[in-house]
Parts: sequence; C-alpha cells; structure tokens
Amino acid sequence: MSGPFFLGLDAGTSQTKAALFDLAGREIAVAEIATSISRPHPGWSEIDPDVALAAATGVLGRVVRESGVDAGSIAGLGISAAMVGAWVLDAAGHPLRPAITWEDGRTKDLIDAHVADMPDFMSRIFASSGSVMQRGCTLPVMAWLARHEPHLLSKAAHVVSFKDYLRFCFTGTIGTDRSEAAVLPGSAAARDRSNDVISLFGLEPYRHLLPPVEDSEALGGNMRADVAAAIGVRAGLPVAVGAGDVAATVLGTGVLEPGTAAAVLGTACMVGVIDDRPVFDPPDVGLLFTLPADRWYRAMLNVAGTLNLDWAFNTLAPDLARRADRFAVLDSMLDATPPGAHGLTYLPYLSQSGIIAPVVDPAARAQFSGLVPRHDRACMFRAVLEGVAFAMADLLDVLSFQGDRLVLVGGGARNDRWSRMIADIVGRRVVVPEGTQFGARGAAWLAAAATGHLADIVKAGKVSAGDRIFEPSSAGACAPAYKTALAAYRTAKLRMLGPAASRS
Amino acid sequence: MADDLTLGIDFGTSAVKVVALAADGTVAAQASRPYATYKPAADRAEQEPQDWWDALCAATHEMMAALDPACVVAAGLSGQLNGVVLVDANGVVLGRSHIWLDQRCARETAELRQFHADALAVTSSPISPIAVLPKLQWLKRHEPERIAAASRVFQVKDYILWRLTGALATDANEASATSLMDLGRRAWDDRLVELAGIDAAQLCPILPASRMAGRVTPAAASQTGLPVGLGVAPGAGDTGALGVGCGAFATGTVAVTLGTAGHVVASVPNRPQGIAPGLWRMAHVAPDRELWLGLIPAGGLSIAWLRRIGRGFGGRDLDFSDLERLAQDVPPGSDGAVFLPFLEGAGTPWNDPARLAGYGGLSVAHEAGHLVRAVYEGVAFNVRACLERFEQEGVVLDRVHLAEGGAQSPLWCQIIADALGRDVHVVAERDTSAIGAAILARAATGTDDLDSVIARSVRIARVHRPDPAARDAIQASLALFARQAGAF
Repeated sequence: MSGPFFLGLDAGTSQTKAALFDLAGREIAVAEIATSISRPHPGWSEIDPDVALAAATGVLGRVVRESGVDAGSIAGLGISAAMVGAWVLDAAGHPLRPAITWEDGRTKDLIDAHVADMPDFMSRIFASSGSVMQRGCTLPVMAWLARHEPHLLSKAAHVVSFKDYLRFCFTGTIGTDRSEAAVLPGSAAARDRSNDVISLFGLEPYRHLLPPVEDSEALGGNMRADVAAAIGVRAGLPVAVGAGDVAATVLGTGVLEPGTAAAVLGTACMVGVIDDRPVFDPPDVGLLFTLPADRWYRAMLNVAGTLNLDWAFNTLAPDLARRADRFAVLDSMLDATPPGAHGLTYLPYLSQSGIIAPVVDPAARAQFSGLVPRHDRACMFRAVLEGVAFAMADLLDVLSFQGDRLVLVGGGARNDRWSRMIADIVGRRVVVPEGTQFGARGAAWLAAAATGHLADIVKAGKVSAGDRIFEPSSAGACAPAYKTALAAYRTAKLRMLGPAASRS
Repeated sequence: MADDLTLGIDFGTSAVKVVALAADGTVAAQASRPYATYKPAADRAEQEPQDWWDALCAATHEMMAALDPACVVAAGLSGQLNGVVLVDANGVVLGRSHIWLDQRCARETAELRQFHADALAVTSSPISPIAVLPKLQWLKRHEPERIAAASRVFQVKDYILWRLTGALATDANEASATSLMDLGRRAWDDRLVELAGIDAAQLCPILPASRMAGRVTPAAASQTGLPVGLGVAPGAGDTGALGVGCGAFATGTVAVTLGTAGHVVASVPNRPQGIAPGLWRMAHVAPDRELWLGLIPAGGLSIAWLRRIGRGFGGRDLDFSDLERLAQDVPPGSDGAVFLPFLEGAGTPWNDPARLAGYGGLSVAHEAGHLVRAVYEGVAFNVRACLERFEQEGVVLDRVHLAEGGAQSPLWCQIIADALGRDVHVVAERDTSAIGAAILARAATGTDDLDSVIARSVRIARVHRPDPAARDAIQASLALFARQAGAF
C-alpha cells in the first residue's frame, strides 16, 4: 500500500461513517458509529452538536488506527454530511442550541402561512432551486427561529449546515459549498444562494449569518493540532470544503458523465440523472443538486427504498428478521417465485408522510393488491422488491431518462437478484460499483482535488474489475417477463394517486 | 322420547359431515370424511359420486358406533349446490359430477345473459357459471352422447337421497339456485328446462324440505350402518340448511357464517319477481319466505390464508389464539391499515370476480398485529356491506347470528359487533348446515312445527355488544375501506 491516502467522512442523522481511500478510490478501511437524533416534539428532529462532533472525531480516529497506514501518508480529509437544517453558532463558533436536521418538520405551519399569502410560493422557490422545498431546509428553519427564538438568533454569528459545522470544529474556518447553498433553497443556475429567495422568507436581516460560498473541491482549511492528535493524523492536514451527502455520494459513485443515471437504493431510494445544465422539468416535483465541475443531479426520491424490505421482514417474517442468514432466505424466496409474483402487486409508499415523486401526495400509502389464496410469503417478498423496482422505473420516466446505464449503490445494490430485477424492469444496464462507502469516497476525492492530487474531479471514477454489471433482458424496455406486472403496478398506482400520476 | 336423535348429513365442497342432534340442540355424535376434487383444467372442478358414497359410509359407521341406533328417528340432508350428476336408465352414474366450482360453462353463461334474460327473470337471481342450467348446456354442446344417455339429472344430495332410499326428491331451496326454477311458483320452469336441453321429468320433484321423502333401503342400510327404514327428508341446499342451523328462520334475523366462504343469509317475506343486484334470492325452507344470500367468497379463507402467511412466526400454521395474540394490542381501525377480503373475488355487494384482495393504507408504523387485525376488520366490513345492501332493498334486520369458523375467535366476534354496530349472537355449534339438516329431519318427524324445533335446537353461546369506545375509529376505518373497496 502506498499513499497518498485520503480520508472521507460521511456524517448522517443515524450513523456517521468514515473511510480511507487511495487515489484510485479503493477502500482501505471503513468505520462507522451509530448516532441518534432526539425528537423533543412530534415532527422535530434535532442532533446534539457535541455528540455529532465526538462521533465524527471518533470514527475518523478509528479508521486511521484500523487502516494501519502511516499518518504521514494521509494527505487530506473531505467532509460530507446530511444536508441543510440549521446549526446555529455564536461568534466563537459555539453552538447556541441543538442542531435542527433536514428531517425536521416544525416549519409546516410557517410554510403553509406563506403559501396562504402567496399561492405560488412553492413554485417560485422551485423555479430558482429546482427542488421541492423540504421543511427542514435552512431558510424555513431560520425563519422559524427568527419568529420563535429571536433572542437566540440575535446572539448568532453563523447559521451553517452539518458538514460546515464539522469543518469549523476541525479547522476554525467558516464557509459552505455550492451544493448546500443552492438548496437552502437558493439558485441552481447560479450555483449559489439567492437573495430573491432569502427575501421570500423575509430573512434579509439575517443574511449576514450565512457563510461564504466556496467550491466543494477547494481547500477549506488545515486541521487544528488538537483535533489532528485526537484523530491520529498530522497537524495542519488539508481539509476540503466538502459537499452535502447527496452530492458527495453521486460523486463517489464515479459518474459525472451527463446522461448517466445514478440511484441510491438505501433506506430511501433516490433516482437521478447527471446533467451539464440545471434541469427544472418537470416543474414542482423532485430535487436538483448542484455538483462540482458544473454538473447537476436531477433526482426524484421515493421516500421508502430498502425500508420496504426491512418492514417486510419485521411484519411478515419476524422469524427471519433476527436471522443472520435472512438475505440467503430472501434469495431462496425470490428463486421460488416467478417474475410478476403470480399477479401480486405492491406499491412501495411506506412513509407516513406519503410520497414526493412521481407526484406529491401526502396521503399515498403502501399497499398489496391482486392477492389470491395461492400467494405465500415468498410472493409477498418478491412483490415488495418488484414494487421498489417499478417505482424506480417510474422515477426514471418522470426524469425522461434516455441513457442506457444506471449506476446503483446503497444497501439494496448488494443483492444481485434485486439488482438484476432492476436492470430487467428499467431496461438499462445496471452497474454496481465496487465499494460500500460512496459518500465518504466522494468526500475523499474532493480532498484529493483540493490538495492537487486529482487534476479533474470528473475523471475520478474509473471502471473497476470489482464492479458488478447486470445487463437488461431487453435493452431500452421492460423485460417481457415483467410487462404484465408493470401494467398491474401502473393500474394500482393510478387508482391510488389519480390521473396526476398517469404520465409515468 | 327425550333422548331421541335426528341425523344431519351435509355434503360440503370438500367433505361430508354427519351429526346426531338431540332435541335440545346438543350434538350427541359426529363424524366427517373428506373427498377429492379433480381439477383436469384450471376452469374445471369435478367430484366422483362414488367418493361421496364411500365417504358417507365411513362417516356414518363411525357416528353410529357411538350411538344407540334405536335412538335415531330420522335423517335430513344438506349439500353443496349445483353439482350435476347424470344417471342412466340402469342407475349407472355417467361420469364425474361437474360441481359448483366448475367454470367451464362461461360461454354458455354469457350467451344466457345476453339472449335469455327475459326467460331467466323468473329465477330472480343473476345467472352465473355456478348454476346447473349453463352446466347442462355445456354438456349438451360438448358431450351430447352423455346427456342423451341420461335418464336422471340429480344434484349432490338428491343423488345421495336416491341411493339411500330410492326416492326422487329435491327441495325448493336447492332448486332455486339452479337457474331452472321459478322462484315465485317454486316449480321447475318449462322455458328454462327447455333451454337446458332436458325434460322436466328428468329432474327430481320439488318436495318440502322437512317432509319424509323415503326410507333407507336394506341395501343402503348395510353399507352405511344406518337403520333400515329410517325416514330421510330432502332437507335443503347447504345455504338453506345453514340458515336453519344458525336460526335465521324468523324474518328479520340474519345469520353470518365464516367458514371457508362467508355467507350472510336473511329470512325475508316472499316478494315479487326481480333481481336484487349483488344478492342471491333463494327459496327458504318455509314456504312464505325467501332466503336472501350475501356472499363473501373468502370470508373465512382470508384467515386461513393469514395463518399460512404467518407460518414463519413460529414454524407452523398459526391458530386463532396466535392470531388473537398478535392482534390484541392493535387499536380498532388498525391505525389505518385496511384489508380487502377479496381473495376469491369481490362478492356481495360488488359482485365483481375480477376485483382481488389487498392491503391498503400501509406504513412503517404497521406491525404484524396490524396485518392480522386488518383482515378481521376487512371481513367484518364486508359483512356490514352485505347488511347495508339488504337494508337498501328494504329488508328489516333486527338480530344477527354468527356461526362457524369466525365464531371460534372472540376477538373477531367483537370486531364484527363493532363493525356492524349491532349485538352479535354467537351460535354454539359448528357445522351449521349439518345441524340444519338434522333440525329439518326432526321437523319431518311431525312431532312439532319447524319454528318451535328451531327455537329449541339453535343454542346461543354468548352475545358480543358493540364497544362504544371503538366507534369513532371503526367509522374512520370503514370510510377507508369503502374508498378502496368501492361504494356500498
């Protein structure tokens, strides 16, 4: 093993992960720590900044120790973390309150009031940011704080996001990157914040709290000696500005080639297409992420991805849910049932807040339909996995995806049968890149770019011999074996969501 | 004779059940034997009449061994409807019976519906492939030599009556399901019999359900172990017999049975001719009434399916108490999870075989118990939909009896009471068709009128009253159910 090596940090709301990579993106070591959010009121979601910092420092220290590499060969750190929310700091950089995460819903009434005053409020925001604004975005949360905690905000010097807070703790410098600034909400076209959108929230008096916007692959600062000692790297280690976790994950999959689809089949399932311009179509649905290197990721989110499978284990098969070999049993159930699950159809809308793509419908819920007596547990599991794959095909349709390749990462991508099913249903080659930590890898590549080891971030990803490739049965079309099931899925979806969903 | 017994013999879809019933409604002995259903193609379902007979002989021998034969004073029959048995002039059975589940006559059914609606009006029920009429048309078209060789056209229990006694008889309840009978006159209809391609004389005469039709012959007695000369009443089709066995006799009483299928039957005063959409109008065993049937095709099967799905919870099929344990902590309304109990298609009131079962409203908040309780509630809501359909037709319902599989689960009984918003009287005995046949046999002995016999013989085990605390949640869930199942 020879350096240089790069650390990538991927801090989430439920776990914080770190990994060490070489310049080719190979994982040298991986560590993760479970973290927890607190819910002081229904719908609220907060993180203790001290706990988050301790988790980040701890997991970085572990990965350095477990990698066994010489500290001197570690050339940089890149940080990514759960996006938006609000981390409110005083002039010394100390948190003034628990951090509010992207999942937080406290701004509902505030947003509803804006919409009541200005019926096209959400559309105006979308026209600038390209994203349906989530309740936990920074600007609505700041507006909530201005209204409900004005004294606290008057003491604030900075309102930053998760990764920016960690960067401050590590380096003492304040700033954010374009991927965050554009979804505050901001302007995707300008790859920056938007004064117009800030005005929509009446936040002009607080604009000074928002930090400078820098390129993700720029150098953010150098690591403080005390932090470096705790982690086990050299003092002054270069730390990149970094990026929000979605942007870092897409970057980490190794695709920045316009026209390629990238999907993260994790607890939630995000499906999107890389483009070299900001895409706002279709309007008022989906998300748009600003990536490094003048790329954008136009994405649709099915709120429930592998969550559907976890739920199926817990409700339909608690006997399996606790077994270490449950995925082998899952494989045998998939092998025991034909494509189409003997006519059983599942809609994967398992979130209690409904869906935000292919249409926005807070009332949408999961369902099984077409049940007949012959359906057994294996059929139900197959239907669940097929339902998630059909939903992915739906999202690609909404995105008017024309390409021939889908890069798939996330927990679901570990299952060969599911990956092959997705290839057959979306009618595209599915590429599952080697590796497990794509958010951390994207962050590490940003560090490599920031330190001059990587001249062109677009060329960071390479085909690896460890990639798994699944060719579709019918290129460009749903495989014949799934056509009847796809039609049944669409009928069920239409019945639930109404004609608004008929475009896909 | 305080301890005399009457026998009920019920030929179900998969087994024969025999019971010996005392005058007070207690079961003195019972036995059951299964028989095979042959499925030579996906749309075909056949049974072998000799299998029925062999199963009967085994079951009666077992039951009689537990009795003093001298106490047995009469027998009555009940049977699955619309199983066609052809017999030639020498008494030889001409091939297997096409039973009610056989769907091969779909084309004949469609033709009847399209071209002969006026002739069918006298039946006051929709035509379906279940009925004898299209089954005979199929045979005429595809196996003309078999029809030509037949001198007798029996249904299941009538064939058995003939083998037991040599008598030819059916009853109005069974005949009313064939699409060959004029419901108002309770007589075979000439036009419909002609459409079937047979002669009315080939069909059994329609006799009262509770009048002796014949006596067990020495030959049949030696095979079955029944007493020589035992009087046998025609009884009723299984639907009519279960109505009797559940005490759905007085007008205004509705009986709900949740066996494999779910039946919701109500006694209704005779009415002018006409179809009640989504319902089946049948002849009642009492001449001044009709028996109206609402069907939940997978009413009990839904639970059997759930038990099988739940096998993984403990490595075996779950029983009712397992299911109750899973469901007991789930609040009424199942937190928004809804089950449509259409595993065999949607019956009353939707009458749409293509509409299938499903779960709706699911979210991460739902656990296994929710999936169980939602099934209980879904079937209960379907029962409510049946009752509302009856009431839309002006039927007055003042009492609900519940029997068979569903009655075994106290939780389910309570859920049904909550879903209906009515008291539910749980009938003590299972196998209500066989019990009904035995009750009809007792009435046929002439010692008492049928109303009194039923009043004495149908025992109520307990009553479930709607829980006021569940009312709001049930109403909300019912609205979700109606939205997904379709209005009723």
